[in-house]
Amino acid sequence: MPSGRRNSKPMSNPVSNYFAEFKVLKSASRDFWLTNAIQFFDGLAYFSMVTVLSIYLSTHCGFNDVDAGKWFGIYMLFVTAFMFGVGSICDVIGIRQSYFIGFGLLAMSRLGLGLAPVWLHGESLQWVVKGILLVMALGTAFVTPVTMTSLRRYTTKAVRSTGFNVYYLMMNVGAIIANALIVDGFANIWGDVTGKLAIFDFGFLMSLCAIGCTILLREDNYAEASERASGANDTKRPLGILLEVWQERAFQKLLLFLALTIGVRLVFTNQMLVMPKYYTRVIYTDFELGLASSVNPLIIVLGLIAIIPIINRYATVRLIILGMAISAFSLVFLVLPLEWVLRLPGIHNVTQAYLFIIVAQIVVFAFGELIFMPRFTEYIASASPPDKVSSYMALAAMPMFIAKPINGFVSGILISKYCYDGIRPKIDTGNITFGNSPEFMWLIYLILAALSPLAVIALRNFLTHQSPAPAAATAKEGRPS
Amino acid sequence: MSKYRLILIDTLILCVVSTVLAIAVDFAVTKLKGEVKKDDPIVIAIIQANTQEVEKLVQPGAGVTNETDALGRSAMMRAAFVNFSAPRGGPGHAPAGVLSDVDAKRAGLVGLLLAHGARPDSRDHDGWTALMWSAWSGLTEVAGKLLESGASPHFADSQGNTALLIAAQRGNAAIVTALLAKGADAAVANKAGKTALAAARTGLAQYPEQAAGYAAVIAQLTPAK
Repeated sequence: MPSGRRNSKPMSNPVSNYFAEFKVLKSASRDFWLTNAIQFFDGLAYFSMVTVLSIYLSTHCGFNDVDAGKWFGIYMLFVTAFMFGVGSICDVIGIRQSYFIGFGLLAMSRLGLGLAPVWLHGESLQWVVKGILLVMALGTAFVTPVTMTSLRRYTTKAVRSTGFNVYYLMMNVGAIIANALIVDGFANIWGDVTGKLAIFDFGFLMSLCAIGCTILLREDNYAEASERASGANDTKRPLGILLEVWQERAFQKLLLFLALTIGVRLVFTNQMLVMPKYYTRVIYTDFELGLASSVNPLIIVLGLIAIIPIINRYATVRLIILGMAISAFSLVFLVLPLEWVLRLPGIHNVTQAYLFIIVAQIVVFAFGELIFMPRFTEYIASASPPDKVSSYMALAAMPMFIAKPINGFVSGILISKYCYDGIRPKIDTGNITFGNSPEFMWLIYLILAALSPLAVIALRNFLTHQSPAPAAATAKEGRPS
Repeated sequence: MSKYRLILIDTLILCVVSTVLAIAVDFAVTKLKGEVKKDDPIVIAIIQANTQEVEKLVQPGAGVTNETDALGRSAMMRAAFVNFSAPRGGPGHAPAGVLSDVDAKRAGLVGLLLAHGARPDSRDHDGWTALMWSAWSGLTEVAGKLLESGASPHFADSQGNTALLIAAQRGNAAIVTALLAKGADAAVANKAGKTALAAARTGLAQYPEQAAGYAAVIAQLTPAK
């Protein structure tokens, strides 16, 4: 049941409605567009890199599946940890300095990942790569929060919401190009081994492009003069934020909510951690990994234009539950025993069966993400006291901070047992029972994911009791939706 | 400056907490799972077709030639396995494109491993030999090199599949020819009751786009009237 209409625009032509909103950006400054260009260049490098990282760690650096998952998890853990601390440093040193440091570190680390396997082998290669991953985490931690600051600084309050929408759109367009053109294109041109190294070299070049744009940025350009004064006093100790809010009832309730959603949010991290290896091992090594990974951002872009304006009319918690349920349900396809899928009309062999379940999962999951993610951010904003939205937003990463390394380790173990390199021949010849199959691995993830919507439904009254009414405007200003 | 100091202290605390968290999770997982066997560097060198590195690693005393991974697979089995989408060739035709390049490189590596004492008939936990891996992968040169070195075509895996049955199931005609020439028994059936001929017929129905390969296999396996 709709809880209240928040978008009264006619929905007759969602495409023109969506882009009509962008007209207001004609007045946006050059720095705003430079920020988007920076984000676009970094998006091309980041999304192509994360698609191949887990495979690269195994096939180029000799990490076994468990170690590859572990170090991917540790990389994500340190991105979150560094972001807590570096966010405050960025406030002090400014946008340009933060970008220079961040992209400097990213350029070095991306080039390092591209070159290290050429010059080094064995244990020495692995230790160098582990070090580079930590440097890359620090670089990412510098770039991510400062982009938010930059978008905010270079837009007026009137166009800020639209500015964030453009940023989110550009990010997803970057993800589509990175996956469909860079990942698959490089593999086709240079082959599987050199093609992956070239992706990191390309990331290095993109970091240089981002540095070039940063040179043109003006630090002292505030679209809202009133924010010039307040910005200087906003800087807080990273742990000060936690000390400030951890005893508050609203924060504890929010933490509970965030903890309940971990199960389904692991599915989101699995798109990077588990899926690339799963695709290439159950189908074939030269599977079009990039093409498969580009379907998700493509659906998100189309959904942003056509679906979001319609579903925005429904209550936030309801949409979160629906989005979580759809995301979790997407795993059901991956759990289906192959014999069942092979009975479907039009499916004649194991390759077709896996293609069917993979495409079905990608499409259904993308719809779930489309509904869940924007509303999830909005919920955090609306559950926070009005004067502490930023603090609550910053600390919202805490449950995933703990979950990421655990998932990294667990995913590595599950892959090494249920989806190891060379499992396909064993599937074809009947050596793999359901209990040893990739389908069983997904059953474990499905159970974890399904717990999230069920737990939120069970505790819904407690979670929403005395929470402030959802405030779409607050959320849109705080984060891109 | 004091502002920087406090921020840096907090950042340091967060890094220490992250490191402790990572170590704690690593410790807990290792306790639960047990020490996970690492892939040998030689496997990585094989995957990357880095002949120089393989040569270095198989030198006497390195002791990696017959090492196995957690699934019981030796370096030679890994060298005999690829999983490409490239179409497989029919009778008398070399496998197409990428596969043939990889086949030639892998055959060289298999020769190197054999020359340094790799056992051609070692078996993984499912009972697969390197010959079976090459029969599935369509690596004709690799299979030839293994058969030349005395690899037996008579082993069956835990499901009763022989190298011949696997090659037939995949429509790898040239490998079927090589196996039959070495005395592989076409009458052997797996636990599901399928012979190599039946497996090739099923393969043809499932993968009609590879009809040429399957037709050649069926022609070789069909008893003369």
